[in-house]
Amino acid sequence: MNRMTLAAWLIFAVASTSQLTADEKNGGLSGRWVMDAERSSYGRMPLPKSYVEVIDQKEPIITISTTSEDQRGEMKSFMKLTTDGRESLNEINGNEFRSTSHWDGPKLITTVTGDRGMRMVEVRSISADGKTQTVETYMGEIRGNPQMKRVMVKKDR
Amino acid sequence: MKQGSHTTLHTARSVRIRSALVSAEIALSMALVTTACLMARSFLALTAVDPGFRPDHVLTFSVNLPGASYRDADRQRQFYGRAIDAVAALPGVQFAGLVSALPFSAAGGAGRALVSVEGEAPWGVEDAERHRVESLYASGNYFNALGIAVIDGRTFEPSEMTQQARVVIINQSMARRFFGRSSPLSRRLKTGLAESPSPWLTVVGVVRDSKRTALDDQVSPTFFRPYQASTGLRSAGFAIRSITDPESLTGAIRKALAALDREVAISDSQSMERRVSGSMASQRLRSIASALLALLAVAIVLAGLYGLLSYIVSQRITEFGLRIALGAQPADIFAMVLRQGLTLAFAGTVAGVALSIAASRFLGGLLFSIGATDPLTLFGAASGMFAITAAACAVPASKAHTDRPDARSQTGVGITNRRRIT
Repeated sequence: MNRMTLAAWLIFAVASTSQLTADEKNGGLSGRWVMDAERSSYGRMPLPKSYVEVIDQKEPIITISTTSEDQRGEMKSFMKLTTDGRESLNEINGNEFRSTSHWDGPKLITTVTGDRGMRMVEVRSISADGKTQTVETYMGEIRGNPQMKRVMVKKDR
Repeated sequence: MKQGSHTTLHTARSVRIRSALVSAEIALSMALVTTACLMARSFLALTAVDPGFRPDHVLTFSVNLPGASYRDADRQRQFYGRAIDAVAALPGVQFAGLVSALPFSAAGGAGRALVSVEGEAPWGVEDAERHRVESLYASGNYFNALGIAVIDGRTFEPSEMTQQARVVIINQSMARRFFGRSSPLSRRLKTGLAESPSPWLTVVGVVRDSKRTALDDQVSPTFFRPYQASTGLRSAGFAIRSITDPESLTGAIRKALAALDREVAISDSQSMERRVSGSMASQRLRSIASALLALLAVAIVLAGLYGLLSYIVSQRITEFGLRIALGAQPADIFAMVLRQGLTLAFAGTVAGVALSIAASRFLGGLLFSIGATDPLTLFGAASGMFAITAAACAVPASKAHTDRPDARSQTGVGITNRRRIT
């Protein structure tokens, strides 16, 4: 697997773990989230045609089922993580990802490390009305502007 | 007299230095001979390894589908299905099978997966290793084509060769790891966590463990799914079991696949026997190289020991004449010279054993199925080395009592002697 593919999977993995907000630590995060492509950017990488997540939040465990579609077709993944700082291990299409998540005030910080040591950090925050979530991705560590930004809108259907 | 004494001292020092050098040579050679023996035994052990399949009469090749026209997974599946049928219909072909990654091929490795078994506790970071397995996609006849025996259950049925297939075949290692002694048939597993929405796959068969990358590799727990269940297979390996010389089929197969799609080419076509043999190339080379080095070293030792003893004999020829003149038996002279040579050989061999043991830590990673300090090999190499060096000593030792000056002419003692004792 080349680095670009691995990076794509890593981004996919990070994105799968990132749809959390401090305001919804009580379980309100559970639901269906759809990416708003107009307000999102994957930097140099093309945006997927669609990106939908179904989250089940039962603190400290959160499970996220993701369905995305790009030019290669539909991809599904399932991630399970804990927000108590313990390390989680997940697998997407044969690639393993280790992640740790913790709340930093209203933001959830998730660090994901891939098989080859590639590392990404995502910072998640939520709008005041709780209907929009912004996910910022940093390669390596949080520094400067995020390399990716995804805006997710909560939609029941 | 004084000059003679000086010469004698000089000669004695020279002999001591040369003796030390010859002993060192023997020690080094002994280490090389041990290495060569270990490499040879390791290589022989490797050639005796059962790969877990029958490599005879099997042709293998890879197919890489052009990205532009085969981006879609459905198109890939369709092509592979037609390709298997087309090749299977060729005269001389017994079975045609497909796998996502051919064994003993550099074209691509098996996939990896973390699997969950129904009824087992979910895995975490701590016990991930137990759940990490290899995954392959294959056609139903792949196992027949490669000659991988079915231990329990069956292979894929034609009706299961679909994208929605929920069946899986596992190898013995995987069966042992997850199901112990109970039958894995009808048990279910899935990739990823148990609570994930990915489908449960039912175990329908257990196949024999087979080597994947090299004969000296450990077999990993592996599961096989129908290739149609793959989300994308741009390249795949084919295994064709034939009733004729497998490599003679290459031309016909190229034609058959070109008839399906001229843009699709086959690559890396060779018999499975050749692949297996090729996987041992580095071990074979190491074995031959170390044997040649050892032979060279032994030749140098023989020349050195022979030369040294011949030199000693030539320096002491007068003394030997005197000893004979004073009543020594030729056998005594022979034994005396031989003893001198064997002392060197013994010292060198013992040092060589020590050197071999000291050097063994550099060899460990290169050996298969044999320890770097294998006692039998050490004993055999030491015995052989000692026997060879003893033979090298015997020639100058025999000369010591056959080629000597006439004792009377050298010493003035009125004893007659034969020029050559037989």
